[in-house]
Amino acid sequence: MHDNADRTDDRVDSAVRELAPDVPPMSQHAFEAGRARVLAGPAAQQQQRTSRRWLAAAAGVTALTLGTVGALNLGGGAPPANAEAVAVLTSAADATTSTKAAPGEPGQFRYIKKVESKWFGVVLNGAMSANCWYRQERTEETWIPADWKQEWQRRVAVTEPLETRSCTAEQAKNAPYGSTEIPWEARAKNGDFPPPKFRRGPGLGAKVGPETLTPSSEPAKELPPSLYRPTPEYLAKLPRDPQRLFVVLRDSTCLADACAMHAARSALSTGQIPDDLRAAMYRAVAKIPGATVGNRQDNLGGRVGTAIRITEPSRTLDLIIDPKTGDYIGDRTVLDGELHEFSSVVTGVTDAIGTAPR
Amino acid sequence: MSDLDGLPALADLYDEHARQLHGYLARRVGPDAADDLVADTFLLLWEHRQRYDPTRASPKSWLYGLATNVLRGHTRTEVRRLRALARHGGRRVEAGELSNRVVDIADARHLAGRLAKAVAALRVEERDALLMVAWADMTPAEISEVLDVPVGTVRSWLHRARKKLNGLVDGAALGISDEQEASRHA
Repeated sequence: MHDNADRTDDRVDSAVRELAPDVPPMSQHAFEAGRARVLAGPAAQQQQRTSRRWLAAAAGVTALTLGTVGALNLGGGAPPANAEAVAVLTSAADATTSTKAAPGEPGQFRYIKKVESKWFGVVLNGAMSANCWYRQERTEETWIPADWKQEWQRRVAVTEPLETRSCTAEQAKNAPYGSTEIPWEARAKNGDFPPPKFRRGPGLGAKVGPETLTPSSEPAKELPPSLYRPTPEYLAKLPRDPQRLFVVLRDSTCLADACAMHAARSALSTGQIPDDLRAAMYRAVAKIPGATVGNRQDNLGGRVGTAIRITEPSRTLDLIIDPKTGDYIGDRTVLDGELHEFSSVVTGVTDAIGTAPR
Repeated sequence: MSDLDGLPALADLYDEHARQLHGYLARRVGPDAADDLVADTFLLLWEHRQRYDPTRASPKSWLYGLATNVLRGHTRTEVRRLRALARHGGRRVEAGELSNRVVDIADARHLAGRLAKAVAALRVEERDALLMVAWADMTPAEISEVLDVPVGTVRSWLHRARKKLNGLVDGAALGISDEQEASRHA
């Protein structure tokens, strides 16, 4: 009985299958247009997430900031990366893959030291927009065990305002709606550190507590892995083919070709990108239209490298690498001719958690 | 945590499935509407990504389930399309495709036309289930998961749909003409 019923079902299904009209394949135009539409909305959310990185706290800090990622949009017609930039990036990629991979022996720790310098703006005297600017540096040291699920350590130090404009350091520090991360140190398995605490200005109740941007903010540990919050599994899945990786980088932010620069800088600055992927990233950056070599003797945090540059009317984005070793040195953003922010990254291996390698 | 979270994952998923999904949607509502519905489906997927449970359904199944929901807003278009198919004798049939069939080209076109008309007349949930099986290669269990209904309900929809179409298929396979078919049911 069942056999007969199954045969009948199969016959009907087969006839309906045959009924399927011939349809033209999805055109490339429709494919690309759909892709852009699909990723554009979520990209805005992604930008919000990534902007939380660093003193995401900026609730109240009217940052002079980074601007939105979307502002990087160069649109079409930009020339391809020039030959000099391609040569530098290719050399760095070759050097990266020819060097011995960073060891990850049990008992050893990957050490990442990132120093970030950034200008912030705050509002004084009831002004409607930022009228006091200060520069602050944040140093983050992280020890990651060979097995990421084991215990990590992180140490964060934040300076007082190092420079100011239009106000004193004291005014900047005590701005009514300012919010500054409090130095901290913690250990946590899998890198699930507790959220940092912030010192808030009197306009925010002058209290100290964990930062929450909005009541609906997801706890940090619930954020999915991404280019900016990678996991080994996530990194393993990323393509090593430069063109495919370029697409991933580009589309992880704002969908314009130059946006890949933002994503590459953010990913590389985590210090967690394995050598083969880092090499692929350099080759992917070589595909960014308009990329040039900025300065071959660029000094960032005392280390010298070559700056790969994207130039826009009011902004210059640099990614600084050592083409001889393939090391990623850091990045820099210049706004209207003035250094706005930089981030330098040093990585190494150490046998003891909490101790920097020599 | 869903594997579908994160923009690179979304981009990968789009690259992997968009064209195939477009084919499915285009068959149901036409290529022009499908262009938009593909994006609508992926946006719906992103919006509900936290509800995705990889232990219950594959990303593809989930995607087709969402696409089916998206199609619910286009039922009239689909029915019009199926009726047009019925008027034109179903899909274009190449003679070479038919060389090994029991029916000749004329019968195949005839069957396709009547079948299209009958599919158009199915209840929407019956049609969804049947076309997800026939045009998207999904199992009743997968359909159950993605439409969030008991598998027994899906089987029931499929059973009713197949029962309604069975007479047409049997008649065609036996070489019964339209007139004979009509008199048989008279």
